[in-house]
Amino acid sequence: MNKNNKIVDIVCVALVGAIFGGTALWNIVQPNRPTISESEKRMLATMPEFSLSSLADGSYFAGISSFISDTFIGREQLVGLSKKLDTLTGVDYSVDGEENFVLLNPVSEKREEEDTDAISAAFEALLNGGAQQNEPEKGPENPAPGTPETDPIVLPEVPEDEPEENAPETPEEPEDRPEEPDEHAEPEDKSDEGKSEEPEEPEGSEGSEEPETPDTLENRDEEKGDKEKEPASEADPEKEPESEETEAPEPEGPAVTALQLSRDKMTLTVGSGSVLYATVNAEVGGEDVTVRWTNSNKEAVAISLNPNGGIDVKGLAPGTAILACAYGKDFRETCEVTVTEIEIEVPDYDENMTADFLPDGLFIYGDAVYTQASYSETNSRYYAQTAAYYQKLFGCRVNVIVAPVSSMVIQNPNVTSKIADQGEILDKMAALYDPAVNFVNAYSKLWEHKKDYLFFRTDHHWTQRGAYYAYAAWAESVDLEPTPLEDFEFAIHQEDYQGSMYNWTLNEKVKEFHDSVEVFYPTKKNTMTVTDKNGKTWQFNSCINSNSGYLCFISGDHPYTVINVPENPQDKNALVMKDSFGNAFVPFLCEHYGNIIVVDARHTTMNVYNQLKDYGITDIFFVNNIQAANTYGWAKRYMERVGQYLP
Amino acid sequence: MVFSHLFFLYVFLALLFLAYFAIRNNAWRRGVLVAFSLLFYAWGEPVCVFLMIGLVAADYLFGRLISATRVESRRKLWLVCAIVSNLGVLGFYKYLGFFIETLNTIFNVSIPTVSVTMPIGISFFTFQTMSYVIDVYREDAKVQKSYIRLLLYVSFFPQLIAGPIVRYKDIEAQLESRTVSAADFNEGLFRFSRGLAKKVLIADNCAKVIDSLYGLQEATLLGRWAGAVFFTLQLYFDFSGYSDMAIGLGRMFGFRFLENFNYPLISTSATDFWRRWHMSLGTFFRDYVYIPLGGNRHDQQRNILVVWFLTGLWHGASWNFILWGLYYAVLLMIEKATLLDWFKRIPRIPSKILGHIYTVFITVFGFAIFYFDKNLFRSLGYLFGIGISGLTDLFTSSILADNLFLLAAAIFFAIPVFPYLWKRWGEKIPYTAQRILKTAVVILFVGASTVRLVGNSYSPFLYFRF
Repeated sequence: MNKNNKIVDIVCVALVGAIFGGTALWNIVQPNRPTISESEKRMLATMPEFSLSSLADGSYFAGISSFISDTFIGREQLVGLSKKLDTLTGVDYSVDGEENFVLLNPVSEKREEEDTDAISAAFEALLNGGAQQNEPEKGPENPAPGTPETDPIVLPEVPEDEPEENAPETPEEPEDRPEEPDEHAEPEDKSDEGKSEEPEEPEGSEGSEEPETPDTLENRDEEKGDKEKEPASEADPEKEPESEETEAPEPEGPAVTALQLSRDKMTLTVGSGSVLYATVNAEVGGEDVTVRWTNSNKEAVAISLNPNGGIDVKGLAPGTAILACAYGKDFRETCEVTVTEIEIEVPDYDENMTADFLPDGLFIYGDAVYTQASYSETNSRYYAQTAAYYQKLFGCRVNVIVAPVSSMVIQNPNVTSKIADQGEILDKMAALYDPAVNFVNAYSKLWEHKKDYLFFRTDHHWTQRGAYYAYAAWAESVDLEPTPLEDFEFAIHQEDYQGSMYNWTLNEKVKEFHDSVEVFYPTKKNTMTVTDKNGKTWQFNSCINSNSGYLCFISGDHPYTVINVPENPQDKNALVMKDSFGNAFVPFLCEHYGNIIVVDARHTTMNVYNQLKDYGITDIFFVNNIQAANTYGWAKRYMERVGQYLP
Repeated sequence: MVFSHLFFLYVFLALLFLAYFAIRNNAWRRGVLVAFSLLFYAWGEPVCVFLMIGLVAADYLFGRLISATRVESRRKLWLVCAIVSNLGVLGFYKYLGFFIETLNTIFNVSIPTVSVTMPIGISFFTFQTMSYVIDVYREDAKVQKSYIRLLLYVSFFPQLIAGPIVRYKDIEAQLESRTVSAADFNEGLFRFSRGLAKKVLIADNCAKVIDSLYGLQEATLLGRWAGAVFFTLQLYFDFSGYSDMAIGLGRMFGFRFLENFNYPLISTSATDFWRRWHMSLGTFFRDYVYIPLGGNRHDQQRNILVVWFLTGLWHGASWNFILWGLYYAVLLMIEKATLLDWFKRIPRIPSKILGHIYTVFITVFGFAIFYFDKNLFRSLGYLFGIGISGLTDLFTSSILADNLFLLAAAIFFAIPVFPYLWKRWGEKIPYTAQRILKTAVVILFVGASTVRLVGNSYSPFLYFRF
């Protein structure tokens, strides 16, 4: 009997030993250990370096433990099995007996205390005092002197329908003359003028002005976007005797007395564009004057006639080009165009880098995962003050678009009574904004369409359809006609998209929901140039590409992106500071702007003011989700991008 | 190192078993056990391992000194030195900060607080070393002339970090030599796997639920009580799980440790509870504090208060722990005075039921005191309905629904259903069947725990940059 028992015992020991001992031995000797986890998007632990200090503080041993557990045999499958085991702990709670409700990740993140007194004081000083820069950075490089000019007779590629330029007269604005000399001066000297506010700017930045002056060429310095004289919009067909001091050769000849270009230096980044105008002063009796444009470096710069009598200039590749404008033999002016790669400084990997969304209080309700928002008056005020500062600094219009998050569309009072009302939050936020800033509240437009597919079910983002309503709300706020949704070319990129929610909650239930990625292509042709975190430039022939999921919108988050829409006036430029919610919004700006510059403040430390102050930004957009607009982190980041380092 | 880690299970144990069972010589076996135990401790405390080695050396010396003389005053002297050094080490590492804070509050002074990191398991091994010296002094145990054997007794990894508090005299003989039959090994494995499952599958999950419930913005009555219940369950499964693993591991090397838990959650009174919960601590205080003070012979009330004050204090360096200890002191005194007699006078079944209900309530409430070292009174207030937003709300109900099965399973396994079934039927089936059943359980529990542990290591880079 006992002997049999003993045999049974030994067999059982051997069995267990084989299974677990075998696993153990394999884990110890395993030759090819994996190094990356695809599903976790991180590097797996490796055998730590030995050192006496790492031994003494315990990190060497902890490293070995991590190493073994990260490279455990069959880890991927076991993790999947473990997640399935998780679902066995209970059942879903149902609201009204119908819709399932499951709270996910309800524990708040520990957020660091901020020194609100110091921060508020800093903002006060900046907004009420002068706007100074903490760290003047070197601006765009000056082009090398002595660039050879080519034969001025060579014509650029010119659209057949508009062979000639007309420059019949100059505007009559003797009273504005005192201001003009400043504008004809070097663009770079304008740095102090950029800081004064111009109430008329909003009109000046709009493209609507240009249709009013089809025949006249304005000597407007568009790049500043600030110093705008009264729009000399009188389309005066008569030629008027106007003489003005110019830097051109002394007025001579019967008809043309002087030729001036709107600028003589221009800096563009790859993929962005601008405009150049020539003003011809003629005496009475001159006929239509035509000028000729030439481009010395067709690889760096492309020019084309624009409908308003100037040329659209686009930067293609780094380099310098001399654009020459000639009239007859006597008059010739040049503009030096430098095309640079934007200086991207990528910050070191920051472990504390906040997401653009905190997985706080996520819940499943019905057939989707929802996200909540909360309100902080202090932080919202900081964000509002940041927008006001940008407005003061750049001097152009600043638009703030705050994207609500998905729980706004829930109607069931059992649920809505437990979560914050985003409509109320947005109203409170709006009250904090300086009247000079255009705060766009998209809540009511989104609420009107709450039954539409406005937010993803498995991702924290809004869909492009949701972003459309924010665009429509913005357009109405600036008296623009939003392009109707039906006018966009519609496509479904992906039928079975799973977004961020699974990775954030690790909850198997989330996998039951599905998303499709609906896409609305801009009505106008556009090209996009993306500078990635390595400084490499990528060209796309649309701002919506074939990347998977939400990444198709402007190709995801990158330090610096330029979208160029040739059909729109090249001097209407938007600067967009955004988090990832902005990605779905930006394509709609292609309806109105010639150049859209998108900067993701998390991925670059470039100073947008220093690098873009001469660009001619006519509108600045802040597009963040409602949580981000309620955190100090984003306000702080945006301020850093204009050289202000707050506590 | 911790038992519920993949490294421990699949590297450390494997290598240890290979080394131990490949050797036949007892002395070498002791050496292997000591070496691995020291490595086990050093894994988490690379510096304080030397503190433990030193403390054992000191107690070894004191033991030798005590036994070397017959002069009573000398013996007492060495005993006092030993107790002072052990308690001194414990006091310094665990209680210094607390002590200074208390002084500051009472006397309104500002002594700068020192912050010392407490070496893990210090509460356990200092008590073990003290028990050795006291037993030698009382001549309940023979002095240990081999430092290595004493070191093995103290540092043996199964009980080093989380108990049970093993008394020297209980395993004195086992230090010398042990036999491990295949049956012993299987039984030890069976015990170990149950402890592992308790910890990984139940206790850790309960911990997550508590975090969820207590993390909600608004407190609800149901939410707060449920949190206290889950905490009680977590503490029980965690602690008893560790004891099971310790006893099981010990058995696999031929050691027989005493039980530490005996299904405390089915107790019928506080008195009964303390005979089932953390029994090694209870007997330690009984043998080394309560009885020397006079026990129930004279000054019983005072003795009870002292012992329970110390019990509470032992659990943590914070006033809520002391309060918890004194809470039990009062309950025990009331029970001794009237309640237990009253229970005896009413018929058996209602008495048992009432006893269970009463005990569950005081236990859960007691562990609520145990849990909150901050905001204690506000948190206790919630249990009485002060400051709550309602009976329950959407979030609370959702969390509870999501963990309904876990709660049911935990309550089920806190009741000795399987021991009862085993006694009635299990022991009657043939040995082979018994062993196969147990082995199946081992494979199931260790396998499921491994799956869980691997799952726990899943830590995606949450903040995607898009």
